[in-house]
Amino acid sequence: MNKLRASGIIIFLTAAGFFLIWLLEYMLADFVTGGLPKDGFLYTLYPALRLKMDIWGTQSLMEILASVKFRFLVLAGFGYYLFANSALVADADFSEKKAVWLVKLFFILQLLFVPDLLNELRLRAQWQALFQPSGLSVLWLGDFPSYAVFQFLAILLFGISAWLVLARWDAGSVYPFLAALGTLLIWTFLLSVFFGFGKTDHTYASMFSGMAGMVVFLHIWRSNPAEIGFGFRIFQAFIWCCYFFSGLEKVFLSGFDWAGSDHLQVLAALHPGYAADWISQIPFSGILLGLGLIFQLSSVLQWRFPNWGYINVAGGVLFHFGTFFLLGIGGYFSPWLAMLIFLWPQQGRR
Amino acid sequence: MVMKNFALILILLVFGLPFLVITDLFPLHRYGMFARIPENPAQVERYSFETKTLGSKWQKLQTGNPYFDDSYLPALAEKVYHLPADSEKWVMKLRSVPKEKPDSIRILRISGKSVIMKPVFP
Repeated sequence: MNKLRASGIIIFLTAAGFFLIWLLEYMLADFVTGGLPKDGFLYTLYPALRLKMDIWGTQSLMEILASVKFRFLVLAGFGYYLFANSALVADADFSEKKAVWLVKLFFILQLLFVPDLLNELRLRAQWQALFQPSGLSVLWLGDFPSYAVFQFLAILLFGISAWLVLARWDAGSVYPFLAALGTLLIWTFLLSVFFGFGKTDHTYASMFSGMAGMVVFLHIWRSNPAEIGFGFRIFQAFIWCCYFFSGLEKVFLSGFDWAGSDHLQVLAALHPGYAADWISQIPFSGILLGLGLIFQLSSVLQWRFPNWGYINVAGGVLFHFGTFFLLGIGGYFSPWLAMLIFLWPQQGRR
Repeated sequence: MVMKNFALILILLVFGLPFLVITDLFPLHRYGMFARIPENPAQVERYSFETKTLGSKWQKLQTGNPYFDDSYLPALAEKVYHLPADSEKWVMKLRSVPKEKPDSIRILRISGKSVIMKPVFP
């Protein structure tokens, strides 16, 4: 009965949210067609809006607004899926001893990629005059920081990661949690500079997201060791959600035309990789994009069915090598590929 | 139980908020690069900066920096082309970076519709 009542409340709140957004959309439509002010909060939130308005007119903004209410519905459904299956996610067989090695492995990857990030920031430092903080980073960034600051923080990151890899720390210790939190904050600062040139670059996205998941995992482990298996599944969710939300975005912006036959040729022409010409000429090669989309959307099944991780890892490897050869994005030294290791099922089990 | 629920709500916020408002809110990412189907390559507008120093010809601005050459400069050129109110600020910034400071900078629309040149910034 309680479950029925809870479901009723969720459905009511979801419907209420949907109609509230719909109402807001009507109110904003009048505002938009009446002419937007030249400056203001809206442009801080959507830096590209003025450009899109100039090229496409107000229609682009109306398209964005129209999809928000449906995005809300999907998000509510996703939330329901997470909560409804959370009891099944608990894993009593998860071993603390093996979890220590998983945490160490995560920080070994940090040791590999911190120098890479520092090099990326060195490239950007040469063009710091064009720096403009984006997103919420306007709250803590002003001018381009000194390169010495990056070097200091990179050495600090390296030291923290090396300590977590080499030191013997107790399972219930607060130090790994604090170290992971410190690592997350430093990466947040460094990546806010990395993103400060108005160019979307998701090179470190799943590693950064996994870092937030690692903090949550270590906190759950420290405060309630019996839930360590659940904590690790949360950490995994922070990784596969990157794929799932990427798939959702494609469905909302392009629909299932994404997998259309011409699309691959257009993508290959605009972002040619090593094998773009060859692959795009193969009959029905557009199906590759469809398979990629199915892989991304189905990654969410790992929450309910842990063994789906086998498909996520295999699909992820094919996906990333595919985007590299077709579109020239990524490569073998990719944080995305490295993070797939943690989606492999049965990890940490006795 | 509280911790579990908190972790799930955190996932919803971290991934759901940028998805809902359809923008990057760094440190919250919106995923899905290349999520929108591009137009036909022949119709896609492409832009380029050209620079000129005294006594030399116009030449395409190249930074010698892989990050800024490939897609950043064309995207910035598009922005400067379409938003005249911001153009002076960006051209000033751009002029300050190369070792050899250009006397003039212009923007070319090199593909998409007709080829149009934006007025020269002295």
